[in-house]
Order: sequence, then structure tokens, then C-alpha cells
Amino acid sequence: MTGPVRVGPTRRGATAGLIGLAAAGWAGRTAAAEPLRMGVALSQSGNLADSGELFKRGIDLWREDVNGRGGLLGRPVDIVVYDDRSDPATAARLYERLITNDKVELLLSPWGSASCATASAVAEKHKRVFVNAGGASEAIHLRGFKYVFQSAPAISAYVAGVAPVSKAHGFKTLAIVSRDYPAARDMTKALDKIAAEHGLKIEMTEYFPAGTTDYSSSIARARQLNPDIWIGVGYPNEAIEMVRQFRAVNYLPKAFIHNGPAQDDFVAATGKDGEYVIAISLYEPVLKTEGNAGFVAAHKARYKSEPGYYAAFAYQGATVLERAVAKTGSLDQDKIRETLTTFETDSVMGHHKVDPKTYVQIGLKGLLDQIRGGKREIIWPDDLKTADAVLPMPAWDKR
Amino acid sequence: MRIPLLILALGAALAILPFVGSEYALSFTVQLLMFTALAYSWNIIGGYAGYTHFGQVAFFGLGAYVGALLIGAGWHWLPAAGAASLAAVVLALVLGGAMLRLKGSFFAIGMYGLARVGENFALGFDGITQGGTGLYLTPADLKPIYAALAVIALALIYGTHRLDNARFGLQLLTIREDETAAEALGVRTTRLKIAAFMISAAAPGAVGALYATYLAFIDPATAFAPMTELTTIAMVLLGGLGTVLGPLVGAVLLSVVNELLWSRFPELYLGLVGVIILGAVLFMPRGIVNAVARRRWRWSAAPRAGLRRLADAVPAADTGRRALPETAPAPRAPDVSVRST
Repeated sequence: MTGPVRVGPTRRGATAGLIGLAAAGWAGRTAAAEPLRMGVALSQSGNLADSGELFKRGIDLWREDVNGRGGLLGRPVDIVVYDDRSDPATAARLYERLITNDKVELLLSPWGSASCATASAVAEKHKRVFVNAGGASEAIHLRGFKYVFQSAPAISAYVAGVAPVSKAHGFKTLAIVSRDYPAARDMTKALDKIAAEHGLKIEMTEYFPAGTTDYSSSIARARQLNPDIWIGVGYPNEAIEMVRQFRAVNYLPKAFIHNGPAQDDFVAATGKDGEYVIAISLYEPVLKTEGNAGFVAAHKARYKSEPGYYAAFAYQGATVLERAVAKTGSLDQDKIRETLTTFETDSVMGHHKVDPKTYVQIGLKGLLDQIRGGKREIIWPDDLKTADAVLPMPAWDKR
Repeated sequence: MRIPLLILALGAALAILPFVGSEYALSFTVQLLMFTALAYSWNIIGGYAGYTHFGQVAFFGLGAYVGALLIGAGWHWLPAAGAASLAAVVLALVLGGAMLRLKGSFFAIGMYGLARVGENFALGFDGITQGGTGLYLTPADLKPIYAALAVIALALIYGTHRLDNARFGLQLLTIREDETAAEALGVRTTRLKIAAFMISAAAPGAVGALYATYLAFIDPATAFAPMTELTTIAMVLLGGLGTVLGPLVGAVLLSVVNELLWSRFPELYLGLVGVIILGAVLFMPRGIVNAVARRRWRWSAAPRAGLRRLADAVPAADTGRRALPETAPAPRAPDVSVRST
């Protein structure tokens, strides 16, 4: 910053010393006010653009909150945002750029398991702390990485409700139809385990490439096999298309379970056809978690809608990082890493806690909702229930 | 004599860069070297043999998958890249026999189709490739990958320089100009075409594997990206099809433009690439290097001037269109009369 200042006994020396001290003081002040730069790449174009925008809202709300609290380590937070075009390879290159060219001090997580998987590898390579707020896939964390921590719920939380709901309604068979990305393959693994434990049978497992909009071949196959449950993991646009195509060909499983309907987009786009669909949700605005009331109010004020779990993912992840950094008291990546290995905290989504070996999220639990009257009602777990499930879903002509 | 010197200078610059440049400069140069290698490879079959096509990314993608799978099986990335290169060469041998019977646009589009077939194979055989989820690798250190790419790129520049003055290169040019005539003169066209095709597949295979290592990830959309293909072709067209320095000039220019724009204005980048290609085709149909050579700047070599002029004159005569000013014969060459024969 400023060079060494030698305060001598002469008048000239004293003057120089005073100027030097003043300069040092001024430099110190600007350093304190200098923004803390954080970097993130999000899908702002491509097939995940809609969902990426919801995630970004969580980041923006967090930034306002943290700056309202006086910033992080006494410095206001600035965020550098790039568009990964819904492409995991681009996400990797953008994180490389954020680290090496933009020299951001902290990284925020991108959105979606695919981009999180590639971005986290870049962060690990550069020994930068990476709180994975947007990827449910557990495979991201099973690569022996040391700097990558999951704040998003793990995929096992997504499907935890499948067995109890199946039992309650006598469902025996499943069809898995998912976007082909890491979370889906993890979900299949988790469901295989659940199926073996609870005597369920998986009739078919299909993955479709990102960007697919036609599910007719999967529907045709499901019509033949006639599974009780059609379950998938992916994004709202996929769930919307599935329901529309179910309706168009007059097909309906006894239960359609997908994580996409947990965003308001689903209800808005499907209207009446979306009724009775089961949403895998990880967060609802009604939860009595820490800071949730304020988060929901801020989201409503700014975006005229209640937050879904995408926004909550971002807010939770950024909050976990913020508190871990504050607790560490420095931006030293190795020290923050050390803090995060055992860090526990409560935020809008619930209790954050990671497995001490793999750093997979184990604190957060999943929910199942049913769309009823254009709203998501929690049907599982029982202690949070806001409505009883209506299952099997009433046939298209009986509504 | 100038080109070996240039290669030495480039080699020296590339050798110094890791010690003086930032990580970011290194990362950018990795991309640049990758595209340089791809552009030179494409130039051999597209520029010299005249078999332009849109399917090079099939070799790149195959290499990426072979490399990623071998690395996943515990191989070091360097032998994995070698194996990927070999796999691409074998694929070129097999495909070459069938595909090189096609000419002109049929070959170009047939190869495009094959790249799409490759993408669908990668999606379909998900027991091996993990389908659209892709394969994840442990990130490797950037510097050795950079070194490997630098060696490949420099070797290709030097190889093209040699090719330009070799019997093999001249034979390829005769195929480009008139395949039937070449055959009548005793040029073994089929054998040569397949050989050129195999050579042009070797580097993309290796580069694909290195790219997968660099990203620590590969999925069908990334491995067989049409964007990789188009950028490569745009580089060669911009720099100069069938020239020694053209692909290098094109790769450097487009990589710089790309780097300035892609992260901030991805849409603008695609548009600009389109404008550049359009401009190049309209005003410098034979690329920057040829345009410069005509201006007779001393640093640009114009070897085999006679044959090149013949090459320049033929398309104009073929289509009966007025020859563009670009294609006027350069006055300095001694054997102008070749053109009138």
C-alpha cells in the first residue's frame, strides 16, 4: 500500500511523515470500503434460463441483506455475474475466468447439478472454497474434493417421501423418467435402494437429453407397463410439458411426482391440468425456519411472488458461506475450508450440516406437496402437513 | 526459411509464457492452441485436398470420449490422448473408404451427419458414456496439458509447411483442382485422400482428449458441439484455405475476438463470427494470408506461386463469374504462362 515512512527529527522529515501518515490513513479507509468481489455464473440463456433467473433472485436478495447488515468482514459485497448458457462446459470456463482473470475473492455456486459439477472441479483445482448451493447430485461430492461443500439438499432428501406415500396409498410400481444429468442418475440410485427396502418395483428408467420437449415415446412405454408412479427430477419446463402431453394423449399415472411443480411457474403454465400433481419440494414459504418470514416478505416486495425453493437454495447457500467466512474472520480459503468442514447453521431452508467425510448435505430434509386449487399444500412429512393427499390422481374426465 | 524461424519464435514464446504469464493467459492460450491444432488439421483435408466438410468434430468428440473413459479407467491423460488420437485415425480410415467416394457438398454434409450420429451414440450408449450426464474427471494441472497442446500445434504448423513443399502436398492439390485429371496423370487419389483424412483426424482425436482433461468433464453436447466445428472452419476460411499460415492467423484473430466477447456478450459473439465469415467470403475469398501475399509484402511467403494461381483462376473460370480482383495473377511470379495453358 504505502511505502515505508521514516519520521526524522527535521521539519522536512516531519512534514513528509505527516503526509505519509495521512496517506496511510486514507489508503486504510479506502481499503476498508473496497467491495468484496464474489463471482457466479448462472444460466441466463439456454434451456435453464427460467430456473436460473429464480436462483439469481435468491442471490440478489442475499446481497441486499448482507450489505444492509454492513457487508461481509466490514466490506460491501459486489457480485460478478456471467451467463453459462445452460452449458456445463461453459460454466467451467467461466469459473476459470472468475478465478484467474476477474480475481474474485469468493465464489458463489452456479445453478443446477451439471454446472455445479464442472464449476466445482475448477474451484477444487484452484483450491477455492465452493459452497454448492445449486446441485442436488451427490456424485459432485464423491470425487474426493476438499474445498467443495453442499448446501443444497442431497438427492436422498428429494425422494425420502416416496416410500411413505407409496405405502399410504398402496402404490407398488414406479417409472423413472428424467432429464439426463447427474442428479437424475443419483435419484435412480436412491430410488433403487428405497425400492429394495420397501418392496417397490421400478418398471422403467429413462433419461432424455437436456432440451428434450417431446415425451411421447416415454408415455407410450409407460402406458404399456402401467406403473403406479411416474417420477422424475429436472426442471419446471419439463414437468409442464409432461403434464400437457399426458393430457393430450389422455394418459395419467396414479401419481405424477416431479420437482419442477415446486416452482410457481408450473401452476401458472399448467393451470387446471396441474392439479393433484405431487411436487418434490425442499422448501416452502410457510416453513417456520430461521429468517424465512423476512426472506419471503422481501421476495414478495421485490418480485411480486412468493419464493420457491430455487431462490431459497441460492439464499441458503450464500448465507452459509457468509456465516462461515464471518466465523473464520478472513478470506483465507484454507481457513474457510476448515471452518466449513464442521460448520452448522440455520437459515431459510432449515439446518445446514454436512457429512464430515464427503461434505454431502445431511441437515436438510425434503417435502412433498400436492397442487390443490393452484397452491402447493404440504402432504409429507406428517408434522408439517397442510392438507391430506388426494391419490390416485382423479382421471382427466373425472375432474 | 521464414516459416521454420517463425515456428522457433512461436515455440520460444510458448515456452516462456507459463513462467511470465498469468494463469488466465495460460488458460486462454490453451484454447488458442486447441483451435490452432483443429484448424491445421481441417486445412489438410479441407484446404489441400479440397474436401471441405463439417464433420471434424466427430473425431474431436470420439477423442474426448476415448480419452475420458481411459482416464476414468486409471490411465494418465497423456497416453490416453495418444490412444484417443489412434482411435480417431482408425475411425478416419474406416470412414474415409466410404465417405471419400462422395464429392463436394455430399461429402461435407455426409460428414456433418456422421458427427450427429456420434453425438447420438454418446447419448445412447449410456452404459458406457453416462449419456447426457456426461463423464466427470479429476481436474489435472493445466501446464502439462498446455505443453502437450503446444507441441501438437507447432508440429502441425511445421508439418503443413513441409506438406506445402512436398510431393504429397502437391498431389493433394492436384486432387483439389481436378480429381479426374489427377487420376489420369497417375496420382493414386483414393489412397492419398484416405491418408490425408487420417492425418487430419489424428490431432482432433488427441485434442479432444486433452480438452476433456482440461474441463474435467465431457458430455455429448460438448464433445460434438457444432460450435467447435464452425469456429474451426471460420478460422481457416478467414486466415486462408490451403495456406501454411492461414489457419494460424485465423485462429489467433478469432480466438482474441472470442475471448473479448464470449463471456460478456455470447449472442454478440455468434453474430460477429457470422459477420466475419461473410466479410471474408465476400472481400477476401481466399483468406487474409492470400490477400496479404498478393500485396507482395515481403514477410509473407508465396511458395508454388504458379500452381496457386492456377488454383485461383479455376473456380472463377468454372462458374463463369467475373474473377474478383483478389484472383488476379501476382505479377512477380516468373511462370505466369502456366495460367493460360
